[in-house]
Amino acid sequence: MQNRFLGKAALMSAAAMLMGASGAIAAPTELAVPKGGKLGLAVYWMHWSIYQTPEAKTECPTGMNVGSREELLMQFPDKNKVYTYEETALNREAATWNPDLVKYDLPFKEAQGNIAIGMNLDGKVGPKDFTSPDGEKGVDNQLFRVIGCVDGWRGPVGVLDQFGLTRMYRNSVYNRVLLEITGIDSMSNDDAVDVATYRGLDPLLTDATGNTFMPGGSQRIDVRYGGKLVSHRKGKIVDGVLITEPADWTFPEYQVNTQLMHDARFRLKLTADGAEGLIAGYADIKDWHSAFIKGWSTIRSGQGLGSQPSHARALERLADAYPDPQTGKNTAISAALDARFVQVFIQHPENRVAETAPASAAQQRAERR
Amino acid sequence: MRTVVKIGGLLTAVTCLGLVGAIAPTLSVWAAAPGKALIEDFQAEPMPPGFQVVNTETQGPVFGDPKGKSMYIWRSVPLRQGKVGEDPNKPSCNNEQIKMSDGQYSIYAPALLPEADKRPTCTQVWPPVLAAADAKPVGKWTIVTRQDGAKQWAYDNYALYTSNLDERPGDVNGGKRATPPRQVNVGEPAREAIAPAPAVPPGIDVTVTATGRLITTDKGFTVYTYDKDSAAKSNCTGVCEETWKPVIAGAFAQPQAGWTTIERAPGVKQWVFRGKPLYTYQLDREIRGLDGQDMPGWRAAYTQFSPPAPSEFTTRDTLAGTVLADKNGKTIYIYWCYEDALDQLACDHPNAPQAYRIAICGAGDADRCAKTWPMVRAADNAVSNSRVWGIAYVNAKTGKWAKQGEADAARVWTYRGRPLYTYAGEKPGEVLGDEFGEHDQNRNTFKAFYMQSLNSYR
Amino acid sequence: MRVPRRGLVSVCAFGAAVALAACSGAVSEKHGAAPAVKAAKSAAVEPANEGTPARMRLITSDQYLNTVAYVFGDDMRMDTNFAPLRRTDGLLENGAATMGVPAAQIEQYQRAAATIAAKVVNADHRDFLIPCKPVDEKAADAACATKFLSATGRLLYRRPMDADMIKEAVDKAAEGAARMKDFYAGLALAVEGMLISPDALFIADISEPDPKRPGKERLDAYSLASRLSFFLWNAAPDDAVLKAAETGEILTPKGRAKVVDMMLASPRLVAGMRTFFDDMFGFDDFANLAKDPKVYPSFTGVAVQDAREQTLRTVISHLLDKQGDYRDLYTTRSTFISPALAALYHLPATPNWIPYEFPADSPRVGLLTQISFLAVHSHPGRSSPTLRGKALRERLLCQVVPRPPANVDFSAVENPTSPIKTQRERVSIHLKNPVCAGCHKITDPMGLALENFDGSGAYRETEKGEAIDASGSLDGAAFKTVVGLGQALHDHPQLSACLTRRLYSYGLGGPTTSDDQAVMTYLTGKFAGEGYKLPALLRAIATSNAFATVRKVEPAAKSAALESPASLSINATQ
Repeated sequence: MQNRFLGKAALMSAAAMLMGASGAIAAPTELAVPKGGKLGLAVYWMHWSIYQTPEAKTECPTGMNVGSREELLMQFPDKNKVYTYEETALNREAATWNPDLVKYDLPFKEAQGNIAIGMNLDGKVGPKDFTSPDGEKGVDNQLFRVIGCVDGWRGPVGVLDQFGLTRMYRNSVYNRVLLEITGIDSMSNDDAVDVATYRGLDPLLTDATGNTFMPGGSQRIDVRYGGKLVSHRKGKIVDGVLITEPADWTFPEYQVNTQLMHDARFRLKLTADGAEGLIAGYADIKDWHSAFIKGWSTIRSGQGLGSQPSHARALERLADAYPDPQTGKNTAISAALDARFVQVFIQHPENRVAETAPASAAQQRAERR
Repeated sequence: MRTVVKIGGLLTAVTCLGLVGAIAPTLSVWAAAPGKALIEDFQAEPMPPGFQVVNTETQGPVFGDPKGKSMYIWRSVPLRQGKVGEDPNKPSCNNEQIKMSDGQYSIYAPALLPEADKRPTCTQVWPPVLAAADAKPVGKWTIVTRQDGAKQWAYDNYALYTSNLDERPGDVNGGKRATPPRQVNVGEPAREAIAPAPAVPPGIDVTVTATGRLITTDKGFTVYTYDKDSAAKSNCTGVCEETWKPVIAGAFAQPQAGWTTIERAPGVKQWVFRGKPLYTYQLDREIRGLDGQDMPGWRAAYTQFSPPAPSEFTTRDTLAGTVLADKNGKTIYIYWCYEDALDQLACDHPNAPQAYRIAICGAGDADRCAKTWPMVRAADNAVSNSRVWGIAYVNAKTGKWAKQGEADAARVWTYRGRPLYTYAGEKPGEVLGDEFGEHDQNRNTFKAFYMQSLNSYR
Repeated sequence: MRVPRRGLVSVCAFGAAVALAACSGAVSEKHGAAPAVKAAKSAAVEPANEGTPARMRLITSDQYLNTVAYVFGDDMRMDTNFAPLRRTDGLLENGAATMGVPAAQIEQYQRAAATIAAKVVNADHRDFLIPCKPVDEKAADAACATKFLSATGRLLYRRPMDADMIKEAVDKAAEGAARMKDFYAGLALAVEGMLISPDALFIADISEPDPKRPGKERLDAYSLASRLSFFLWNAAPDDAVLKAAETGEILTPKGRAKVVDMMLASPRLVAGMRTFFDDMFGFDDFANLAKDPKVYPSFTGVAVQDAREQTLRTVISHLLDKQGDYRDLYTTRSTFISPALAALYHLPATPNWIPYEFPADSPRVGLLTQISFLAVHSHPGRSSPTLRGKALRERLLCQVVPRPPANVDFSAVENPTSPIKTQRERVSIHLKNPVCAGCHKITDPMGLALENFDGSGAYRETEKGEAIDASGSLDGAAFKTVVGLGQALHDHPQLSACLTRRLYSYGLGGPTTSDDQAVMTYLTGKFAGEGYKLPALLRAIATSNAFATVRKVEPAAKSAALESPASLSINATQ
């Protein structure tokens, strides 16, 4: 299955790009194999990947999208007319919560261009595919088109970006995303490791300023409630980068929400303090939309200039995988996440509960429609 | 099953409770309730003639007017774009019919409210507790003058009202949701029933939870009891105390009804409630945590239990905690709603406009709502054993009250007079329908009925 | 006075001609050198002792709050810090006897008293704290007021109130009740007055003639009860101890021993000993502890608190729970870990404190290698052999290290571009300069053994690329690693004598003098004879004749600030 894994050169340049603007990497020093061949990692920073150029000139040549406030003004321009609450507010809420029933045709700017951050998920180079910033062809990331020209999603200070996943990792007491790599013989090159995901229960360790997450903390696994978030996959380490096979992965989103990512692949550079890199796969659009609308009320997404009904339409339009067997419509969209992990000690209970293996992707889709 | 685990020299005790989504054999949280309903003690205080203290099924003792009806105040709360509610000594709920929304909570410009012409006035929904011309203030009870000149009773300087949803003494169907979340990010614009302070020792408090009136420390941490203890003896000593800290009483601690002390060591007294010494659990991470109940022999302490849910209901573990579930294991939801008008009238019960709910559950299509968010039916022979869990006939499509035998009339379970729902878009053990609604789930929202939630905003 | 932190690691200016009279290379002691005590040798009989001068010491905020919490309940505790004490002869507690009470302090006491009193009588508390109800809540009630106030006064004043005192309190309550038409408000006024009374705030040694030694004095029963309680529990005597005083039982040797044993068996001993060791180890320095977050990012606020807690837990567990040998505190690998500390020790952790044993080959041995000692006695951005060595001498061996001379040039040490890599090299300059060497010889060799631990207490093998050499010596005992340092300290003859001295002065309420030497030698001998178990030493001190003996002091010796306690009484009815 050679085409699932990127070539070495592409990996190294990807790692270089991820490590900072200077692009220069110090010659990798061999990291010590952790005790027992086990490495625990916890997410402390995770964002949907957006390829950004200065002032968005390349990807948003006609400017940024407007948000709910502006859309409402477009829909109800007459300040002297008395509208009904059903026409205005309830209609927008209906479109937000039932996007398949109420559709808006307000203008929406999809991100342009042919460069995007991500991975080649289907092994093909198609007409809709992107090229990665370091030249890898066939990159699949249609989610970039949805969110690339929404101010709130763009780093480094996008409101939706800042206060969503990032704040959750700082403040939440129970929604840790954990990765455990076992069977490590070498942190530089190892052709067989196992990678498991879990939900963790403990706060992340911060430094004295409270702003930086530090390695060396500990995380208990949630065995009571977090079974759905357990997944397993195989991987390997190539020149210090963890590369995994694709496998479904569900991770906690804001508050009660979860995000299913089909065929999720991890490509993480292992560092002295943890890991950082890319996770890519097909994000279930219902989950994505649900996390967005539950995490952000209309008024707050308006502050980040993100109209939720318009996002829903764009997701539906651009979804490119996992067609619903009945309707034929795609239920997932290619996407990528920039992720940073900090090393943690993962605590397993001795008598491990039989982790509910996540239902196969097909089964999940069938049951949820 | 409790297992003691050694991890590299460290000791951890962990309870493994089975697969996610497994059906608990019974409603175990209520199975522990004593056979009889216990009455909670309260601090007596002087009241105007005729006013009384009434026990309720879920809220503990509350104040009642001369007819025993619960009384409510409405402390002002800042919302996103303005505040709603009343200031001290300034009743503002009046007989004016408000037809336009106000936009205090949202970005939506003022618009004509649903069923505006039929909309009740504030005082029709919240009748003021009027004071006779010769009424005299007593203790914390004062008299304020309304905008129309009439005299109204106030408690703690906030004007008092009753709720048109309350029929009998002991009903608390108006106002705030029954079990408040542990944390609030934006204020809930709801009225609250007034109640006497609980008669509990210094350092102790009582708070409402799904299971009942939970005893906590004054900082909010859950208080527990140990099955192996007796009224005269604590069997948690030595190493046990590292995990379970006794709730200590001062030298002058006076026994009161239900509250006694034992002497753990000379001069060191521990509080005992109804024959069980009290402790806090050192591993509870948040206030009102219930992690300690996972330890065999330990249970959270309550002054009284809420009436158990219908016997056909069950509980389920989900990704976000333990929820109440119907007989098929599907998560049970309540729905609540406040109209975004200055009077913030509730829109979540069959008396009120259903447009809000139907917008959320079916994009305005009532038929669709009935399919996506069906109400929880009660069998023909089902009987309710309490008032808070009721059975009523509701039109399954319109959501309004119905009569038995009418078209679309459904016999449904109600909680505080409002129907319960399940979500068709999920399987048993899931909470995909939780938080389904407007405005960070503070209004016009479906919410899972949690027995124990992981998130403190529930 | 505290030695300033910055630049304490001194590089003495070459050619500076400052004589350090006290630094002859030998250890100096203010109150005479203690002769070495061999374990097997102990005086069989307590030597005669004139006792302490009758002192009056100010109650500390912890003692005050512990007492109030014991009487009225834990929810009375508040964040109140009364005047910080002055560390005298190694202990903060020793400063309590020499404190005056400035006017500003009176205001602080009064505010605390007002808050507590108001709480005691409020609706939430009154039924659970007051044993009676007034006939009419709007008026005075002498019977109920008498019952409550006399019981309260007994515990707050640490002796029963006489009839006049009771009457005064009840009258005050009645006056307040009449004025405010509220029984409870009046009661609160009386309680407030009691909480701020000199009888509550000052712990006075009241003496009476000693029937066994005609012409001499002993502490009266209540003063003895107070002295015992503040010593062992850091709080006023409770009902049981006061009863033993009331019956006179506490004045007989058997009776006193019984009370002491009861107090040693109580969980309240833990609070008492935590306060003592917190004082002896100088942990008040934690309040000023700040590390450079760029150099030590893991050293968070939680880590600071937990570091202190770890040591106190270790001490209590070892000395009280396990009844261990005191000297083993400096060689033991058993301790406790919290999640914040686990990160500093590079260990996995689970929530809450758990017992932990460092592996047999770990360099973490004993209290000297715990983060508390290492981090407190360091600079914000680097370790300090001199500070650590000094702390070892002063805190654990009761020795005094003189301050650096005023004209020391620290520039070489502060130089960030210095080619000197390790602390050992840096401080070796001290030892080459005869002006500096005199003092540094007695501090640096031990501190250098701890150089494998940086300024945050984290372990390291190298400093700036250079391997760390942890060899050193302590008064003739040489060692190659920090494990050897722990053993050398364990074996040091002064170690147990110093604990005795600190506990003795802590218990008796003031610095020791040379007159106390014979008793302390005797007590140390007993300590050794009982295997260096702390409860045995506590018992020996608490049951000694010296503990209850007071010698008369001429009135002129009283400090001016304490001259008229009456001036401290506040008319609470404003």
